[in-house]
Amino acid sequence: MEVRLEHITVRFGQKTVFDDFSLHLATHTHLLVQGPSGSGKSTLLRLLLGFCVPDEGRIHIGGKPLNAQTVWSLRQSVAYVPQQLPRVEGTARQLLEQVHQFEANQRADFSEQTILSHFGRFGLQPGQLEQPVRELSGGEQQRLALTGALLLNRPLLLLDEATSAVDAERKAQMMDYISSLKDKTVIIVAHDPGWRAGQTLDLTSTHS
Amino acid sequence: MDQSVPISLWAMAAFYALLLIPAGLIWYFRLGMLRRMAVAVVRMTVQLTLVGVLLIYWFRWDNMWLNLLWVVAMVGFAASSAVQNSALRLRVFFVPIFLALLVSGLGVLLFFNVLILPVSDIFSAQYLIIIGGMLLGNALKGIVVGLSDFYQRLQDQQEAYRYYLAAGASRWEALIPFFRNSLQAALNPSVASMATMGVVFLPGMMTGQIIGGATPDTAIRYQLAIMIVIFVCIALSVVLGVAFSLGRSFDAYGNLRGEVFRSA
Repeated sequence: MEVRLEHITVRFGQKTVFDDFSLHLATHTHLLVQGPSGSGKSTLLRLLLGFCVPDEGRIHIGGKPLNAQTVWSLRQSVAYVPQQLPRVEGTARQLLEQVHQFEANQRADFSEQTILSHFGRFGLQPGQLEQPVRELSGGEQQRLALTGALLLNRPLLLLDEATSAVDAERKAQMMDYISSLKDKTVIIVAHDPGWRAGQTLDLTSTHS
Repeated sequence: MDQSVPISLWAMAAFYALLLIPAGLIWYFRLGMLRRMAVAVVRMTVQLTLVGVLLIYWFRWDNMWLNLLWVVAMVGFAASSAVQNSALRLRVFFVPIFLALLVSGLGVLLFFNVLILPVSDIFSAQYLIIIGGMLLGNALKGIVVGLSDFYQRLQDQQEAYRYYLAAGASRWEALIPFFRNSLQAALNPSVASMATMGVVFLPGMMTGQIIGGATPDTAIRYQLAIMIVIFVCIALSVVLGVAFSLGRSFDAYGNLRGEVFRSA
């Protein structure tokens, strides 16, 4: 899925986060976004999800312009892994079931077998499916969030510091698996060294 | 018809003199609310006296349109007081809450009157205004709790809401968990008070009717009926209040607008 940002300007009060910023990402490209805190890494993902509306410029995802009408269907082409799962009530299974119940997701494969295969791949135990999300460690929550996103099987995957709380060994497993997803366009926002991506964007330079 | 013993002016003066007790306590313990108490007592006195005078005329005229006008005005006061008792912004929420209270309050009120009165009397001042006031007073508390809880929780847990949206939820699908909690918060006090009614306290309406000369049998039937319609009215007004306010509180992308809150 192709992603194109054209002449984007985003201001929060006095602060300009993006000033005439453009980016083109061809289908199935993996992009690693780096830069210090406050450089706009998360804002970039929020722009693509329609949680932040640019002051100027256009965004196209999969050839479609992102606007108030298309954002709802475009969100159904995206899987997003936040740095932290929201503080929700209920078990890991209930969280996954809730996402599965959304009308857009009812055809996605949320079978026990598929869930457990992701769990196994990322070092989660089957029993943790019944554990309250709040009781999982930060690293476990991140692996659960990645599982949820992969179950949606969307063409565009957005990762916001998705491995920041995971130990080194698991981190490598997660990075390897994501690198192997050749049929997806992936945008990885990360401080972590070790990510491999076809394209790198350093946001430090856009602000210096 | 009026079987309750009237209270003489001397007796009223004695009741006001009784206020010296809490006033003395407030002064002695330096609670710093003497002025607030005095203002509250004066307001209560003036407001109720005015309402009393107006009611004398409204009862004398007993005109259907004037009675409905009274109910609409009550809904207006209730709506503005509901918003002002919450952190929500009046400009955004007055109309949705006004409509929610009007539809649920008036709907339930007419249902109540149709069931107990001959059709010719369903708009009579005695029932429309008095029962309407009770209904709105209680629905008001419910809608304040429900709407405040809904928007506050949404603000505090915006990441959860966005997580659901990012996972492909429609706005409504992403809002359901928040709505569920707020409806529960709004209904909980009524459920609790229904469960203890008659055991822990005797409700005001029933007390008033018995003093006014009604038999306990009639008073209890009225009380049961009014509790049920209050409960229904709270449930409906919270649902409608949320439904009517959604359009103004979110942008077209589904993001909660900052100006929803007063202090935003």
